[in-house]
Amino acid sequence: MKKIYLFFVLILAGASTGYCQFFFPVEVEAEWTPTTVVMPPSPLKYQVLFIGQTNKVQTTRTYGNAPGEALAKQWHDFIGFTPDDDSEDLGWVTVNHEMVSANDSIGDGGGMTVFKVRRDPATDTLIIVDQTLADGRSGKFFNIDFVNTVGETGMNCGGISSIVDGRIWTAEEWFRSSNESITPGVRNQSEWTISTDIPGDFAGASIPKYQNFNWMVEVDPREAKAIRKQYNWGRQGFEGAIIMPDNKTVYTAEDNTPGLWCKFVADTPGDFTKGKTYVYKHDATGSDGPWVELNNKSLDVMLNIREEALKVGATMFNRLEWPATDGERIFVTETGRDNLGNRFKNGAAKGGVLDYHWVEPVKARHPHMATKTDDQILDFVMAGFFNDYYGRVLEFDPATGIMSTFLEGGPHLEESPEVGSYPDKHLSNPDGLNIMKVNGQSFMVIQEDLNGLSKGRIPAGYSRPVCEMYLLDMKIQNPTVSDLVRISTTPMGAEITGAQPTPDGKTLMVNSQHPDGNLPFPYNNSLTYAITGWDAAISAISNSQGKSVEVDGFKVWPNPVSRELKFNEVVDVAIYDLTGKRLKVSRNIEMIDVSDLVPGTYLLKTYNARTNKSNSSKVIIESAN
Amino acid sequence: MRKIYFLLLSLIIFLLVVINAAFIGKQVSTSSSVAYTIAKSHNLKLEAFTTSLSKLDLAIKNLEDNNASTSNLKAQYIATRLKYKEIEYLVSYLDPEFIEDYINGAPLPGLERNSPSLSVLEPEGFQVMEELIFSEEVFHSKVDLAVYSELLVRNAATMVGYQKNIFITDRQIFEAVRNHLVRIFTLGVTGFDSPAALQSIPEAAVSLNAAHEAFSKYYPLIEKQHKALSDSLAMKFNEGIRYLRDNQDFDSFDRMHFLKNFINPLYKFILKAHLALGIETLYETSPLNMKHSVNLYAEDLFANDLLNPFYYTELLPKNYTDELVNLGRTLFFDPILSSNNQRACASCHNPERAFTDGQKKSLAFDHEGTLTRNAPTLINAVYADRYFYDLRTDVLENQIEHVLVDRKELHTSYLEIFEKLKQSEEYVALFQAAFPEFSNSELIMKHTLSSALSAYVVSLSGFNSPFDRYVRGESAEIDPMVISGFNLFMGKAACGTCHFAPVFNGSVPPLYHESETEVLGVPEIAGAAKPAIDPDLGRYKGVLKEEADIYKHSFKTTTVRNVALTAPYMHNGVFSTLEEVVDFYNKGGGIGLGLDVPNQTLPSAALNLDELEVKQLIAFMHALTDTSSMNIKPAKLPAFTDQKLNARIIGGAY
Repeated sequence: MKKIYLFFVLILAGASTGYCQFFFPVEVEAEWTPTTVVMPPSPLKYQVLFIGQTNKVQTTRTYGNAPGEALAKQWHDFIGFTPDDDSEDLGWVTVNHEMVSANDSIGDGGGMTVFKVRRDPATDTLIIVDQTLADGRSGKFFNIDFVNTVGETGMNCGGISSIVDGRIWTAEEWFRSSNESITPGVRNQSEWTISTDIPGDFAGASIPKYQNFNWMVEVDPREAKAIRKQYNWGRQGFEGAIIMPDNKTVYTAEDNTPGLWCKFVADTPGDFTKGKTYVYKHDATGSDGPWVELNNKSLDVMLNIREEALKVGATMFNRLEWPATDGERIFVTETGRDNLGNRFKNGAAKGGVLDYHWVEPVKARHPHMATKTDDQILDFVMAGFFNDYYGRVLEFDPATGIMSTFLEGGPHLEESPEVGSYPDKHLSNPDGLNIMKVNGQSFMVIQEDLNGLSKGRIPAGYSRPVCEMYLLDMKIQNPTVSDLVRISTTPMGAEITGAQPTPDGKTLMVNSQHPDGNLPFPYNNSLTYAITGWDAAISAISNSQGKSVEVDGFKVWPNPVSRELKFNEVVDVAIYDLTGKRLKVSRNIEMIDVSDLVPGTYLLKTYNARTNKSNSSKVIIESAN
Repeated sequence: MRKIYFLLLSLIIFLLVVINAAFIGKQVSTSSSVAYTIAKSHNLKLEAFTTSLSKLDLAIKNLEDNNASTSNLKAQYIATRLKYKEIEYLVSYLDPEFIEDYINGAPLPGLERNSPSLSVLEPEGFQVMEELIFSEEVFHSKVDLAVYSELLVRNAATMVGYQKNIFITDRQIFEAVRNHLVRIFTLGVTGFDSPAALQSIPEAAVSLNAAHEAFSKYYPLIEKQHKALSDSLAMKFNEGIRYLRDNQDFDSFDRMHFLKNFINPLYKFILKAHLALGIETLYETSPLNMKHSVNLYAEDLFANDLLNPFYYTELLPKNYTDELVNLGRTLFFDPILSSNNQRACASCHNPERAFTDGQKKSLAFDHEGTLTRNAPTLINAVYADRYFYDLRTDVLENQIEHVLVDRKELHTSYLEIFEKLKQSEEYVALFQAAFPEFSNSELIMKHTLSSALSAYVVSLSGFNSPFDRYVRGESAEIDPMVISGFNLFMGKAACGTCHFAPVFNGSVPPLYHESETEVLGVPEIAGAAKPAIDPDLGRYKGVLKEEADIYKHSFKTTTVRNVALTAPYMHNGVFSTLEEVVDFYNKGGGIGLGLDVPNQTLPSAALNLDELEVKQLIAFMHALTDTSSMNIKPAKLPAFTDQKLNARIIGGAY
């Protein structure tokens, strides 16, 4: 009896121990399955245009060195596009180098490279055109001459690509506070004497060299030289700006906490030397609506625009990045910051204020704040209690003067969701922003630049930041993160920035800024490449994403653009190669990214823990050729 | 009656067997999986941690200026830390960045990531509180402590909320526990995360026990595949935990014994169990082309292949061929890379001295003075996420350019080198062999040149020193002085808290993703009557956006491996012997020498090492020499048509 009892206990113990999650065998027989899912090649085609430190740029006489050629600088960021209306060529492409390094031929600091492209009508690929410039340089890639024109630039990050006429500005995001702090990337530190046609007390003034950085700088892409530093727009840690269709109004965004939202209005269209400069103050009561004018004829005011703006009570933002416009609506990314600390408090001590776009995110994130008044919520933000992990896309309405949230980052997960409801899309720290028109339809292009890896910004177990690019159909009212369409930007997902569409809507040019050691050359290097085929890709996205396959109510359908297999249920998934070896496993998901699978045939096994049903099917990843 | 009873019992047993059998090999609903059970009990521990934190908060708020009150606070702090140690293996795995930033990061200020401008973040979390609670003047810190405590309570709530219902898989448990073994050995028993309370060993006992408690839920499953394995696991875990409980004195704790008998066997057995159960691995849940820093299949913390060198470079493993290394080696020893064709990489990185040059500071181009810093060894140099003493470059492939263009080093440019190399048919052939898929027009460029040199540096990796072979059990005997030295290095002498095992450099375990720099207060001249700090500002002048006071005089923590061959030492070569180096640390670095070193990251207290202990430490460092198979020089250099160029000397003329 005792023995039986023991047996009983043992069995019971056995029954109460747990089990592994659904087991996918390490190896399987490559079994026959009746169903086959076909992943067509992506309609998007990738073409490398310009590789940093590999392509040679034509240089001017610099620091006494003869004109010649040099390896281009790296760290590509913003891309500008200037259409050429006078020839068969598409136009000029300008690329920022967000870096600082001394260079005998290109010039110190950062810089910019320009080249011209033509579309091959037969293949739709872009051809880089040979050019000869007025200064005698000839070749394919040209260094934009800053040294002999307006003085060196540094950390060229964002810029303006005017939607009116393709005029180009580069933004210097390099706030320096002493000459010592610009060494060793800039060797010449003698006083800088300003030479400019901008009215005010600028021309002839002498400033310490470091103060000649951190401006918005217009360049001439046709002749590859800089035109002027926009001393009348203020010295700010600019990230980007836009010009409105009136060709008079410029909105600029500052990457800082507090960050400023400013406006310049030219007296006459196209002449940005004369006009008025304003800072946004949502609660202003003067005749200029929510704008307060700053004296843009005073060098002192423009050098200290942050302090001057806060003094007049500017509205403070949390790291504004790239603005974008479709000609009517105005958007800007506010990328967020994990730790606000005392930054707003310190800004407020100087006069800065917060607007009410914080109310919604705070209420959503902190349930105990839901019943608080709007002003109490602003106090909460001011005190630094709101950790702005994910940021957002803001919309500015010039008619009402109100800045509001267009698309909130996240989702915010105060508590991790129950098993099975974990979001498969997550927007964190939006940075690059543009509007692309394809087949007459507008899409917002959003690029992430993660501030950290915590709080769900990357999947658990990933070691490096994975920055996504998303498309958003602008027809969608009150969009949420679930409306975003993820775009696989290369066959292997390099981090990208600077998305710039060509006017014909066929190509999006992007930069891969930070070399990714996981990718083969040239994708492991800073480079500019073209993604062509959006006309086809957009219809693939809208036409319910490829042919689905259904067995017993379980549906699989491929998305050739995002390179994902999607399912109509939450499942555990394993993918095997044709020899039966297990390659990939993913659990508790509604889609799996297969962009890392080379073309070929695979076996897909799925298991649904709720219904206890398994499925298997063949997956054919089609080759692009 | 009895019979019926018996029948009933049999029926129940039968049903249980059937149910049991039905579950085995088949699916089970998520709610009965082991991972789910572990997640549920993890939740309870998260709650217990939260409760304990509020007790700590209360003890701080109620702190009075008397012994009873401060002892109470200390006891509560220790108790709360232990509650943290119960969840550490999993919370640190699931969100390492959050833990480092807010819960258990080093008590030192750091820079905000991805910030548009310089932004110094003050430390938060346990360790900065510990330093205050265990100081003499704890009551005077009451206000500060209350602020830190409030932050910790709030951040812990964020962490707990976020991890409460998180979906955890079997894979993650196995990997988390394995990671934790590395964490316990490198950051736990070394005293890294208990800077003042000296609770490292008791804490390690609790955290190893907690990891085991979770892991042991898999024993019935492992048993079915491999009974002996499951028994060994249980035995090693239990003995290891007991060893920690029985040997709680920090200074005398035998780390070598703990490593060889518990950490390493467990590290191996858990991997075996992982594979035996057929549970998917990180490689299968990440993109297939992703490189990982730690090789999952490495069986030992001191295995030759624990770290994946390719993670730190742009090289893809499939392109790492003998031909590529051969090209890299040829370039390394060829002065063709300098503008006067007389200096090579090997000029300052001589293989006979473990790729250093024996100079305080290396000789400059044209014999005009010296460079600004000491030439570091290249052996195992690849295992870093940034390069140079001031961390100014990010990947190995970008490091070379600084040396090429520097007027004091090779004084040339890529374009000048390309023009020269293209003139040599032999070089073109070497490039073709190394890059068979590249067309001739793109054969000689930055990518190919830097890949070849980087592949050569990757080839200079080795963990086969007498010490490694002893740890791995490949040799049975080693000088007891070495063992004592290792125990000091990882314990009392506190070397291992910056020179992390197994590379013994500044790459931070358990994932080795980040390289650290330290402010030591290294003097300009050794043994000076009135010592002065070396004027080199280090990392402060190294990289844009890092010009923060905390990085003034901050230098990369280089490897201790092969240090017997690499004298003189420190970034400025100020110490010519290891005795001098150890003496410097023994005194408490720059502050110990009486220098004013703001932001010194090295503890300024004397280590109190006696003469024998110094000898033991040095014996250990001498046992870290391994230059095997790294001394191959090219027999000849590729020929050029220009006869003047053919006078080049292998390794450079000077």
